[in-house]
Amino acid sequence: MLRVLITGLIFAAFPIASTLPFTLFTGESARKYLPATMPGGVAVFDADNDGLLDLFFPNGAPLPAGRKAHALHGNRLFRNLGAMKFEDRTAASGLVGTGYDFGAAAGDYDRDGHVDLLVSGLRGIALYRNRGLGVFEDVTAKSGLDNLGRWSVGAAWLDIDNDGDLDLFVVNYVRWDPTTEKACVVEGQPDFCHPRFYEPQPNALFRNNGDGTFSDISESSGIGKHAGKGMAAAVADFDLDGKMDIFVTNDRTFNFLFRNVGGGRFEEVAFDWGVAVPASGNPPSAMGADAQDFDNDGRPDLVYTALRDETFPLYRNTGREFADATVSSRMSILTRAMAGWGIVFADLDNDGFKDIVAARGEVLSGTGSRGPIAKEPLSWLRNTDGKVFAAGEAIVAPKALYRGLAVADLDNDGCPDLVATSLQAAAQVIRRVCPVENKWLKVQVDAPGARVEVNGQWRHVTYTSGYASAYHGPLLFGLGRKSTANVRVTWTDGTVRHLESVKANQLIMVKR
Amino acid sequence: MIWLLLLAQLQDPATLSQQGSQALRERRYPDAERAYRQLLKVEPANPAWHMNLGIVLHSAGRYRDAVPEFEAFLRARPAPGPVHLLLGLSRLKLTQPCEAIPVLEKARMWNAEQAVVELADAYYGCRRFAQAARTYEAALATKHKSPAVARQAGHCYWEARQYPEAKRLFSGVTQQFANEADYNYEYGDTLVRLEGPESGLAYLEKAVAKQPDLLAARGELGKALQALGRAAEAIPHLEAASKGDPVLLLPLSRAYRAAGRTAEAEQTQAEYRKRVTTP
Repeated sequence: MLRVLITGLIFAAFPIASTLPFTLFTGESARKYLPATMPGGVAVFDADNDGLLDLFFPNGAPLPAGRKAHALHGNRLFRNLGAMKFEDRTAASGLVGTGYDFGAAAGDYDRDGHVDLLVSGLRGIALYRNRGLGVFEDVTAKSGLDNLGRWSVGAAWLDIDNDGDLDLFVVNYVRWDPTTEKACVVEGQPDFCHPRFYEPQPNALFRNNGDGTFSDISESSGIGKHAGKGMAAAVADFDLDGKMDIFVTNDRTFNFLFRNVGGGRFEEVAFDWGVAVPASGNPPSAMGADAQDFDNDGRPDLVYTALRDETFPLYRNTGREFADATVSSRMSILTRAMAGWGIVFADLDNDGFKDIVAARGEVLSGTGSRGPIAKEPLSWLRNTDGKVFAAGEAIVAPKALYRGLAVADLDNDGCPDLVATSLQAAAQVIRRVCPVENKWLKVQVDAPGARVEVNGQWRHVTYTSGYASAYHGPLLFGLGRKSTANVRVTWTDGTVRHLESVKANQLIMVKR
Repeated sequence: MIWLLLLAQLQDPATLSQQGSQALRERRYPDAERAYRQLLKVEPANPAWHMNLGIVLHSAGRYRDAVPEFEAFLRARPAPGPVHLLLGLSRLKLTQPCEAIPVLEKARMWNAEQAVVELADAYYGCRRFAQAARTYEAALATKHKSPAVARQAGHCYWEARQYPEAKRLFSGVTQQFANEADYNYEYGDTLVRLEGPESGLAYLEKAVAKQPDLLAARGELGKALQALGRAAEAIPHLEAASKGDPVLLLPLSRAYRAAGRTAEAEQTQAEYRKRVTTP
């Protein structure tokens, strides 16, 4: 078994990057098939229940076949050994996969205490049930999950009906047929085609029947009536009515906001809530998305990535709609020159304000006309006061065509670390050391949709992460200089539990 | 007998060549063309006659006819040289900028200074703005240095959405182009994108003052005012600009809403959704 040592990490205030022996295979060739620019995410979750967060990477395959033909194409699972050491456990995990995969969603759909995986791919989805100790079995067929062969970039586990088990939302991108795909040229060189050349697809919603099977409720829920070019889903109870809603970014078409109206039904309200399209009126290349409360007012806000000159739109939730805060927060200036994919709200310095971390990289080919500028760094956009963002410290990692991103405390030191994927390059694991004067608290609540308030900051339990990625682990709160915290957990049924003067720098489990 | 002698003399390549070049010098293009066509009948494989005939036709403004002659020459003599430049110029005259690019790239290999502006023009015409910008900027280091070339380089960077570079070039020619509406619009738009609406506002206002029917500038001015919370001032500009660009109906609807004109806001948003098919 390959033991990977991520050693020699220097303790410093700046993030330090190291690589995993996993190279994201894209299948890119001179023909520039569109799927080759779209992988891939990362899932961070505790696969073996040892208290350490493990890493799963979906992987590509040769195109146009889209079938894995070599070990280099396999999906990979890395077990966290602690102290930022990981070992490759793919062979024993049963997660290698067969097709061209993009995203992963982590969630315990069968409530057996082991976190399962949904892998989204070019020609469908696969459900892997965790049998314990990080060994998975493919239960797609017997679960009844069927994405009808559609190209799915990502997925999100959420409890749409508050029955305690996880339902599944699948983000579908476009119809792709290699036999009819146009050969495109950008600035005189072959490159990936614009999304306008591909037909949109509806997303899919599956209700968990509670017995290991799922029912396709895409049509009855209203979700299936809306065709888009879905890139990512951010899940939150945006209107605080106790039911989880879904925001979907669409590539150069209007975004969707599916408001959960109960009874297994959703209404699409993106225009009413002001998030269908940015203030300019131009639908951008909306990519990854995240929903958390950046201004500490208790309402989940929204951010998503887009391409150069489109800026990363940031929205403040007012309770009735979203106010476009892209200009007032200075995100418009900070992100104007960025092309982004993964994006996550995370308090990187534990100062009590959620920052924004973005995985960046050009959508066009690194071998095309954008060659010299296609690779970009990871970026930290620091939340200065809940209103305005500023450039954070440089994240020490090479420029690359970054795609997937997750933020997680991988070494259990109370400081968030980063995992990022990039096309045809090794995955980066970036250890961060937070300022020692800033305290932290980790809160574990195994109830999707539950809202957790810690000293006036809010997070909700969600398992999506930016683009094609997932995070299933404790919620991390930075406390600044405060050494204690008041904690309030609100479950989706309105049940509330208060914990007063909880000591900082620890992980607490909160149960109903 | 005399007729035969005359014919022999006319078919003599040296004589025909001399006649052709003299006619060309004297801009008697039909005579020059006749001479070189005659030469090509005598020596069809001689690339020089193709080149000369191409020059005659190019000089006569018959670019479409000149192209195959230059191409015939280049098939025989493909090394970078002046004929690449001539062929590129013919292509540009025929408004075939994309076809001009490969030959002008070769012309630039022959003489970097000579062909640089024409190559930049070809990139520009072919909408390869980033390459056009870099090439115009390279021209600034040659005898072609001028505010107009710098302005054009800035314009291409702006088109290519490379705003820091556009700003660098625009800021150097403010004095020369201060009264040009397009310049104020592009510079103002650049500053809005790089530094925020407050930075570009004065330039956008100047652009609109200089040319009220420059709707793109009015659209950007309206959006900047709206972003600065000046919805009432934004509305007339967005109303005007949205007549040409339905995308602006969305910011207009938001400006109406911010100004308390709710019914118009809803009506305008509905119009936006109806008219804007996603790109």
